[in-house]
Amino acid sequence: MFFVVSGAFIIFIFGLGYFIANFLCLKKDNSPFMEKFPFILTTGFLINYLILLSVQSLKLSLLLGVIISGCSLAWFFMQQGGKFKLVHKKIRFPLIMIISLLLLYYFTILSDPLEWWDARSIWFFHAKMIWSAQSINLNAGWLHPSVPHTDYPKLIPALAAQISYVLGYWNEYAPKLSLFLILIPPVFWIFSFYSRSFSFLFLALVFPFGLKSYLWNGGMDGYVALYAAVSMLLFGRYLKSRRPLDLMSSIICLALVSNLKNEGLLIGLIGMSSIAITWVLSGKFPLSDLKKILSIHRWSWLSVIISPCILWSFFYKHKWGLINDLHIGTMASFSRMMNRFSDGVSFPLILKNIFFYDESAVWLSLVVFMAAIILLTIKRRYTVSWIPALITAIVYYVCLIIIYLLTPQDLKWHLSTSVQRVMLTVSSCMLAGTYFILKELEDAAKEKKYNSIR
Amino acid sequence: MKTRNSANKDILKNRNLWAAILLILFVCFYKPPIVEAIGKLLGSTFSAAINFQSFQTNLKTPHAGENILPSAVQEMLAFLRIHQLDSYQISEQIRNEKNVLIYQRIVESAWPRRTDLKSNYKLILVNELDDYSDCEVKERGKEAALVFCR
Repeated sequence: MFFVVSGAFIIFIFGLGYFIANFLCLKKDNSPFMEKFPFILTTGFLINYLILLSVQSLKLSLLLGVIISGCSLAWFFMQQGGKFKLVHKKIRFPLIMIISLLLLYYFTILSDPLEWWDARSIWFFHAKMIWSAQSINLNAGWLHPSVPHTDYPKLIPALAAQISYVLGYWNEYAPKLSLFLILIPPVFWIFSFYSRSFSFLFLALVFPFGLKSYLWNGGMDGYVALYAAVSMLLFGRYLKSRRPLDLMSSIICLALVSNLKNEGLLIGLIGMSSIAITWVLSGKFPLSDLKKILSIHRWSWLSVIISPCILWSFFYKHKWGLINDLHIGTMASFSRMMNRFSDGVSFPLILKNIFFYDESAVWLSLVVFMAAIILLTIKRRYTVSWIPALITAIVYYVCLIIIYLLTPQDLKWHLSTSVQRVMLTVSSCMLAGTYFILKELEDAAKEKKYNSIR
Repeated sequence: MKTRNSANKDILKNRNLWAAILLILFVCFYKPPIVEAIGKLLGSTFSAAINFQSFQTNLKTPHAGENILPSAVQEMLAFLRIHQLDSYQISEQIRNEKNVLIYQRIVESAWPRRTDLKSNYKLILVNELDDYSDCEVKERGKEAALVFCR
């Protein structure tokens, strides 16, 4: 039964995403299905969450979802007819790698029960609340004094609650299927960079494996880092190839990440700004290009995918009075920030912790990045693909410093319990930028070899 | 001798070799450890394949996985289920920062049974029983107890 539900949920989410993605974005796109698939799936996650936020009832959201998904799957098969071909011969190897990797993650995620603090006390506790109330509204108990961090985004808790609702029971294993589902798109996207090169090997080692337990312990930090990095990778590729699907995929990654965690909203805003800044500064992309890419259909798609975040973060949270524990924006937080900045102890402590923390690899990512940049300069090669990733990493790093400066928690405790997780996003973005530099260096070597042969 | 020297130079000029060495160095220094993650993924998958029956049972059994809860929490959970309580109180000692793990775990694992100051039922630790001498002890385990106070 569980394995049937696992498969059914992938098809269900795909159907939901296909309806909007194909209608609004992909009609005239000739990209291979393997690259469209993660885009459709991610759209599906957001639509599913949007439906639940709109109707609030688990039962009704699933019912509506099944109807929409069923219709769009019928449309999909009618469109494809007998012509449907999942993969070309050329991309069979990456597909085998993707399936193997996803199987490894499927078994690893579902092997252990929920144990890690944040997973039990925040994400899957919220999922259990939605599941037991069969609704995401106030009946779930968001205002109960014993429930922590009720203002956090609910995309994963909602999905986990839906899975448990379909299964008909709650336990400490099954809801983790939501983590596996959300992992599928980034794995597909990473392998869309497949080439027989060291740069790809670097990418394939860092992203599926360099986030360690944060992809299977039930926390969101690994997913925030992964989606942020994949977004930067896709936008970097867009700057080179100028395929609209890469740009849209990059944007949808940021849209999804803003529904995973509050920090995700921050990374979403920073990511979008860095995309816009690179776009303008690179000088290659006039406004007419932007107009061409963002047709009325794509604007509609954009408004649909950002709706869940707006609905939760700017509507329900205020309507229901769900307040963030950091109290950002208050006078007290501002004076705390100024005090910590000037006391001569806190600021150096923050800098020391967030840069040299052994488990977050920030310093190593920076060293690798700088080495690659120096090599690129020596080789006199030019590429802009790494710039958005660097901007995102730096701005996010500065924002984290500010958050640590204003935290109402004990600073040492806050640093020791979160640095290793939140800094993953900074190192991941930096490594995403490094990938493009390595790729450029490889291309330079290839060109040199080719010219010497000629 | 000349041939060996030129072969050595060729090896040093080999870009792929250098790239491989640098990549291995990076993987060794990278934290969180990449090799450890690959080991865990392979280990868990192998173990799930070998004990597939148990893997499947865990997934399809309601309440499976509660064995990872602290033993005091498991006892409390059993008391709440036996008495089919929708609400309960938690003693001051459990609310204490020292017992934050027990407090948090009972709140989340017992949900939708909620803590409520109006409830007559209270979960306490066994060493607190003397403080509740005027309450009726409904259940008593090794570490926790359920008392009824009017």
